[in-house]
Amino acid sequence: MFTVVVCVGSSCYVRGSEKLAETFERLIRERGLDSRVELTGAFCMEQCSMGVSVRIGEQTFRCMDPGDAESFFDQQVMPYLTAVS
Amino acid sequence: MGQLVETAWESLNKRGEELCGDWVKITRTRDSLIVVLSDGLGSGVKANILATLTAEIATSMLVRGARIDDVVETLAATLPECQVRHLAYATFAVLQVFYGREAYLVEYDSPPLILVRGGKAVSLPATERVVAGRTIREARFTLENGDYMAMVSDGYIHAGVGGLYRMGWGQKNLTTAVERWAATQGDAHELANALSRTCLKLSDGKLGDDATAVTMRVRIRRKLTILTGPPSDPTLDAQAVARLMSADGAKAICGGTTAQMAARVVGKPLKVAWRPLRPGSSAVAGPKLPPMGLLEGVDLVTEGILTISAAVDRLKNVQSIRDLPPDQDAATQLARLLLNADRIHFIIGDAINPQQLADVVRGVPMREIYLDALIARLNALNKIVTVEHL
Repeated sequence: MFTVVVCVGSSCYVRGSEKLAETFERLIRERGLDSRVELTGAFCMEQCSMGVSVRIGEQTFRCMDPGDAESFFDQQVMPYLTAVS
Repeated sequence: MGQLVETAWESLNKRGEELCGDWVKITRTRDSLIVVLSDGLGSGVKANILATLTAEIATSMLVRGARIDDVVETLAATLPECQVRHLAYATFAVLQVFYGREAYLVEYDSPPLILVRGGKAVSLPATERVVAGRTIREARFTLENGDYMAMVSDGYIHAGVGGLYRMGWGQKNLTTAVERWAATQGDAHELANALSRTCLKLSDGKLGDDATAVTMRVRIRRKLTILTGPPSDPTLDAQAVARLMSADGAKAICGGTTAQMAARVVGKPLKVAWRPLRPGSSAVAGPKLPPMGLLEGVDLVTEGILTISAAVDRLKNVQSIRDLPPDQDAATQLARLLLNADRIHFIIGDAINPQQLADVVRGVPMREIYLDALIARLNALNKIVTVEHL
């Protein structure tokens, strides 16, 4: 089980973390990853100037454009998931 | 655990009048509550001016510590004379309550204050004396938790005159109504509302005189402490959190980083109330708000500036919790918590997020700007607000 943490601090929220989380939620459901991935939120990760922060395990990713959340998920999150499993 | 007098009031205008000839002024100072109800001679503009002047003069003098004798003399000397009646006349009732407990009442030609304790009206130990040629009634008494009071203008006493009641509702019937109503244990707003609805009904919707009721309930004071922003000096983190956690009454944290700091200090997990709060909340004006957090021992954990500024918005044109929509978003919940409290203490950390330097507007952090707006609104709502910076 992996936990994907999306930052919902003020800065990330303004940059669209809600939208990012909604897309993630949809992708996790569509791809049948529910049993492997838990999606949750966290307050400020202190990376505010770098786009929306997403943490998986020890690693922090930054999504510059939440509108493009799907390709971010494909390029950053999926490889991580396959690598650790 | 202090006691407090909760107040509310409603005025009904004489039929056809746009202005009310009664005027209510409610002021809270550090140690006392001052309620003034004045009824100006006649109705309409003239009465309104007389009543306004009387209430405002009395209040501003009493706030500055003037004696009631000086207030009465000043009123006698300054009120403009009515050209028709060659009289400068407005009745008034002044109730000053110290520490929510020790009451001092002065009445000049106004219906006697109704005090209901344990469902029964209590007669007040009133004495009369003459000041500046006017006979005033004075009483000093001690209020108890659960007491209800109603201060009315004579429009109430005469409600329904010549119609439903030959001589009007009358002091005795009105007192009975308050006694019976007190059994419902409602708050001051509900009592004001109930009285004015009855008054309208008795008058068949057409009032013969302006009618005003100031209603009061004595209850235990409700406190709220809010921690927002980490201290400018990180070595004070533990102290700031301890100040919050040891406070009595409700507790709130506004700010994601502040919440994380608090969780670290108390050694408990901070959870983000992720999804469940969205469905069910009705369409909220403006943008949606960041989710809330959950931290053991704290009643409400929210994000900082976005939520605070939205809460300021929610509090516009709102007097009590019943005026708020039933929404469950962070700002409405914060607004509800603020409205529920009588005494609100802010612990404001002055740290500036180095990631958000752009948020400093002309040297003032954004948080400070929104907090100033919030505190101004709370003061206008007669809340006692205190602030400490760390």
